[in-house]
Amino acid sequence: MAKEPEKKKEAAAVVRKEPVKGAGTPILLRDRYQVFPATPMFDFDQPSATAFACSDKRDPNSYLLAYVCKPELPPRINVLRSLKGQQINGVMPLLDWGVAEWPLAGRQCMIVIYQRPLGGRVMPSLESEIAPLDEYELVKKIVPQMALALKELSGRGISHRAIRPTNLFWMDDLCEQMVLGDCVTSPPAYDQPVLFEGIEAGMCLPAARGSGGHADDLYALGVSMLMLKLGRDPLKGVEASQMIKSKITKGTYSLVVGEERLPLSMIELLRGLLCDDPSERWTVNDLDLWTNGRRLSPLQPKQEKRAVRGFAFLGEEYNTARELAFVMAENWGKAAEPMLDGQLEVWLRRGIENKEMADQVSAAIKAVKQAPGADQKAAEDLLVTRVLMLLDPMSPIRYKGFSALPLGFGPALAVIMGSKADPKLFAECILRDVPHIWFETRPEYDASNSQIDNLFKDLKAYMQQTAMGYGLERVLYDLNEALPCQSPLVADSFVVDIGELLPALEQTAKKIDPRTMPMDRHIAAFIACRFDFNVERQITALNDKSSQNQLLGMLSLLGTVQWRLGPESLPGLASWMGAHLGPVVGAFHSRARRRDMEKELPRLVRSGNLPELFAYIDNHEEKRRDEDGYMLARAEYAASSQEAGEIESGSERRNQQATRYGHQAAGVISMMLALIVLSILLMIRFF
Amino acid sequence: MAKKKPTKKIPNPQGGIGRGRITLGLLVLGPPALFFFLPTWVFLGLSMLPSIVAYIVDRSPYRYGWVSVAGLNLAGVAPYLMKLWFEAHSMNNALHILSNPFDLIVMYGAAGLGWVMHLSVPPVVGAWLDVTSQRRLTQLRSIQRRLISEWGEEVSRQEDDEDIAAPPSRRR
Repeated sequence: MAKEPEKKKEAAAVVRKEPVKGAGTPILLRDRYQVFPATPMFDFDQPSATAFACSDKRDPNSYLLAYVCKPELPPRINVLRSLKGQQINGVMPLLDWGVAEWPLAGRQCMIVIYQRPLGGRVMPSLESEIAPLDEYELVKKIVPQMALALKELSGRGISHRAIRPTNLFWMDDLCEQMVLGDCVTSPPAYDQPVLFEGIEAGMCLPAARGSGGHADDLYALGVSMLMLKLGRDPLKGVEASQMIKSKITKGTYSLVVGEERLPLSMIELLRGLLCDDPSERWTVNDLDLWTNGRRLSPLQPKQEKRAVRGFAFLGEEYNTARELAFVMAENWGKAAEPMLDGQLEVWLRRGIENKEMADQVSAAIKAVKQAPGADQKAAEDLLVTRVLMLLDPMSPIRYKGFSALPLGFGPALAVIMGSKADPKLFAECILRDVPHIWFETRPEYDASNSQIDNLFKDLKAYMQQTAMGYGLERVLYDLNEALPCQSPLVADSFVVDIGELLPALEQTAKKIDPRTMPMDRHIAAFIACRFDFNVERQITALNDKSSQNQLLGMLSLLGTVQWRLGPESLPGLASWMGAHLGPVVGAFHSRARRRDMEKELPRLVRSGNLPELFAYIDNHEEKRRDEDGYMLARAEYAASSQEAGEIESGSERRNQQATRYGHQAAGVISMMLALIVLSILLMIRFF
Repeated sequence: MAKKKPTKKIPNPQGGIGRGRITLGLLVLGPPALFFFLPTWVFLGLSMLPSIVAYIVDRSPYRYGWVSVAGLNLAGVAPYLMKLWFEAHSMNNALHILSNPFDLIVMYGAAGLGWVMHLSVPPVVGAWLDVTSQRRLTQLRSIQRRLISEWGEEVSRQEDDEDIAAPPSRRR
């Protein structure tokens, strides 16, 4: 026994007698942890996170490990929060996490601090070979440690989704305590090779596997234990697609164990863990019972019904519906033809002898043939989707090249948006109700499916609206409740909680070009999704055609958040906002009112109170008065213009008037003179 | 629909009867008046000859020319008419006055002054109208400048100038 640790030390990829200390200028995280960018620890790297040496200022003798996450991948914030500071048996202790300016990336990055496993990685890479662990050690020591870890994670409602030999570490330098490594730096199961994922999750895009459940962890544990027993990857060099096909046809256990000779206890364990039907797979309790000595009869793999004659597709024959569905999904463009010409239906009736499935496929084909011509291509895609779901009810949602489990849509979109990939397929999938087809084709009723189906209906409604606060961004935050706001304005601050948004914008205000708007599609969607207050009116105003109303909507939206969640004063943000209020002030017609506002605004900006600023700017009484005054002024101007025009253009008419009035006047004067003379003469004569 | 009542002509109680009375009165009183006031009619007919000519030749739309001529012509005739009436209302006296060139010059000269007045007053009135118009124009420009300074250039734009419809008021 004394030689055992020594043997493991040789086998383990990295065993450091003196753990590496950090060197160079450290980056300080939370005023406590020093992360050394100049001291990378390649032996601990994850596919989606780079490891660096780290130390604790409060305990300089401690050996820590810092994972710097890739900025384009969404970390599992909920799991981070659950694991932070927890000592869970069999899980690498996660001490803290935070965001810091990372010089190697030139931007802020999420950094996760772990206690460093002193014994190093159990298996350096999946391509490498290590000394096989013996049955006794596995069954008596490692599996119980892992079972305990999964039990504790299960108790906290966390699924690990990153169990693989390259993510198992020896916590102590004697290699006695094996722990599960990091599971938070990337979306669930994102870094898992297909070998460690069940058939359904394996068919998905890596980011779209969803958080899954403990059954997925147990499956991955089964494959990992087998690899530790063998000391190598039994399917090395097999392509992922071929691996899934083989899993479907042979079953995982038969595929991975193959001709290997395993002890009975391991056979029982692996048959339980590698059962392809998740409902029949061992649970954490089953594993716990097994580690405590209860022996169960090994599960026998169920074989899918095979056709009496194969279905020819692309030059090969397939004998099960599931296998055929997988191959058709891989060759999407050619899948519709055998469906539409009726070959598939005939095969289902006569080959598989599944009349019910054949009827369903037939109904789907009829619906497509009745579709209007312009929608034929889209209808064919939906037909392929539906038929594949009917052929393989266990499969994920598959649409063209997109393949995801319902709960994997969120992480998938987060990765698409984070890596700035084309979200077209994702959007099409939602807009064409593909998830609804998946729920429709479930063989058994599940109440939770209705909830998720309704969620997808809401998402479709959001997608159909392209305005700010809706669209793909709204879907992103609705599907990823712990995803930080992806707006470039606050991306560095990792704003997860709505209460953190305004302080983050306040920080941004200090360094950003004030001509940039303090609002974008991400911020609007983030507020609309995460703010527990009805901001529909503000969002509507934000999308108004008039730029003044857009600005008022923006101010109102941010002001409402400040009013509800604080902080009391945001002078930076108010100043940033104030710099954009020119058009709002300009919307007042009265120059005197504008001058008053320009005098008053700096005072309000200094106070940093956005609701007060909004109330001053959006004074309806003043607006009405201004509008009324303006209308009167316009009428007065128009009248004066008309009169002036008449005067300027009326010289001819005026001449005519002058002639007429002159002649009248001459006539009147003449007659008056005559009367006067007559009167005087008569008076002279009579008096 | 109510039946439309046929319009009934309201008989003018004085209509034909009134005109008939005047005609009758003229027929009855005219010949004696012509006979008794013959010197006056002859005198007026000859002394007011410029006014009669003016009445005939005045083709202006409102025909104010002959009024100007007749007014001053009458003023010039008036002293001689008094003389005729109050000294000797006879044909000889009337012809005597009319045969005096000085008297004729006075009467016809007065009529000439009437023409002069008819021709000279319109330019004066025109000048006066020009002055008042310019003053009003200055006032209007001042009002417009004040409106622009208070409300901006946009106050001068007419409805037709605005190609973008006013935004609907934001629902709050």
